[in-house]
Amino acid sequence: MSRKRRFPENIALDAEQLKVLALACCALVCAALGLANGALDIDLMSLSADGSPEIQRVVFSEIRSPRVFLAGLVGAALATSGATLQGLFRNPLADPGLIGVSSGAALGAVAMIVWGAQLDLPDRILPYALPLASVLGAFLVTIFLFYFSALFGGFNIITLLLVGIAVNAFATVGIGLFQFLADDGQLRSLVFWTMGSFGRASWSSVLPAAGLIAVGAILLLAQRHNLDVLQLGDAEAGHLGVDVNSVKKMVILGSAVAVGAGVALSGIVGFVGLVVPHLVRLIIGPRHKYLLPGCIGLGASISIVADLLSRTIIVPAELPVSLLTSAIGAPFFLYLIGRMKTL
Amino acid sequence: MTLTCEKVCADIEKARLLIDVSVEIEDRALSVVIGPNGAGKSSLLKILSGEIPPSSGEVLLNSRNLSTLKLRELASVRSVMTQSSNIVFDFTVKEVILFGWLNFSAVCWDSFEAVVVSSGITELLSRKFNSLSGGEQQRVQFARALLQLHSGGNELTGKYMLLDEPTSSLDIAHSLQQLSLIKQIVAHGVGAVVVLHDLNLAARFADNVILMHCGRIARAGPVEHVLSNDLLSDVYGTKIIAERHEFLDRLVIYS
Repeated sequence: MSRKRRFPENIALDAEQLKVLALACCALVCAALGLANGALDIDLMSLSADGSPEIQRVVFSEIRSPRVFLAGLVGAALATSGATLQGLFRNPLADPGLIGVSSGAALGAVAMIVWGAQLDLPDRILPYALPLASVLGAFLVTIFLFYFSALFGGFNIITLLLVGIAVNAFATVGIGLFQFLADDGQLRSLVFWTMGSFGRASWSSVLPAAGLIAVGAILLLAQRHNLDVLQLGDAEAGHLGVDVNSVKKMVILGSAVAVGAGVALSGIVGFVGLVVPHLVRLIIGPRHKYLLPGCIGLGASISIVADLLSRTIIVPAELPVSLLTSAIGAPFFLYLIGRMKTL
Repeated sequence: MTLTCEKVCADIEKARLLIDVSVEIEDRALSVVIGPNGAGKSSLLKILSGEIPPSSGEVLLNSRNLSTLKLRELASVRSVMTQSSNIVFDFTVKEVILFGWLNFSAVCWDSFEAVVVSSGITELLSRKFNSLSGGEQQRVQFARALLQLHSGGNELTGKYMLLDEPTSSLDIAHSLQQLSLIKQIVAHGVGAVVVLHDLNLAARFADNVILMHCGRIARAGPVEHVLSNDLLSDVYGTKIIAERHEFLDRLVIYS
């Protein structure tokens, strides 16, 4: 009781919870903005009233809602897995895109688009096939990354990024190969992976992905305390009773599932996983208990706003959303490199 | 209550780190490991902590084989402070110390306060760990390891603390303070194993000295028994004189 008062920092714990809550509210506000604005403006207040035009209601329920929901989901998934990968590698430059997890997921998805037609899957499985292929791609790439980073001298920043470059190059080769094999219709779908867009969202595709992303997020959130302790070092975390290998496996699995399911629907959305965790650390602090929920809130917010901008800047045309996130993220990446005195 | 190695060998990638090492670490005693660079001091600590498994022989903690203990169980009876103290993200000192509390959902703030006060780092608590000097970081890491021992209750008998050069970045006064603190903890029943380079600190504070040489134990036992002129000169390959200082009434080492 009175003991607590002598260490006034204890009160700050509540402040962190408040900030997480504020970021969640921010996501809701962004979602409302995203729902209301677009090629067709919708008055959210009068929507439930009988007098609202039919077209507004259809656009709202069948186009806008799943799209905003997907944007939020993917942003949250990318930011959360970015934060956990950074925690796992003890490296603020780790990002699902930079280290190749996203392109691995895209490779899986592209393979499914081109080969999927020949697999002749039953209709009930079809909505899950693409996310699962994409998850598998992300998963394989992360294992590859792990294996070679460890082989070439541990998880230091340079090894990690260099292996990431190699992984990205391999994935690009794979995607190029599938482009070569694809017919015209498939080609159009393929191009969309490399650019990123939330424009294809429909409830029937978003909901299965939402389930997978939720599973991934739960796996990642479960490691929040272990990720904190891991910051002391692998051996040191082991001495504190943390099974480091199991943490690594869970983070790999969780982020591959979350990023894979997201990328399956939206294509590659760059730099959200890099920028958002950094911002949340500035706002809330580095403890994963608050960082990860914070990333869900801010990741969703930023992704929804980026999508909103991408479809309103040059109405009726659309910018690929990854153009926007990368335009903001790339300079930010440079700034991060500059801030780290030693690589 | 002991921590013992029985005929332990350890290898990493064909390099022999330890050869046929048998040693008994008692509780309520401060055992200091000394020896030249590459003699196997850190390897011995890693074997005792369970970080690397012995390639032959066995390590027993309170007569249970170390390899049969779960990480969690192990963590509740011994804490380890390694030489690495680098942390990438901006955690506060308080957060870093709390990493040592095993049951993180129920922190005992009385224990926390006692550890912080006895380690003399109260004024550092709200600082960022990364903004501290090397010596300050080392003291914080020590407090973290000490808190780990307390997280299973304040009964410390039969618990162990393994410290790899805990004074390497500390000034003379803080080194003395640190070792006095370790002595106090030892008086509460803890068995401490401390790797030190400073032979005078070893002579002044150790209950037992373990002198390592080329992966073997050259000699182990009470201070006067191990720190002899001939043995030290032989092991370190340079002239070393250990003699009893009349005024200080303890062994002093010159080189």
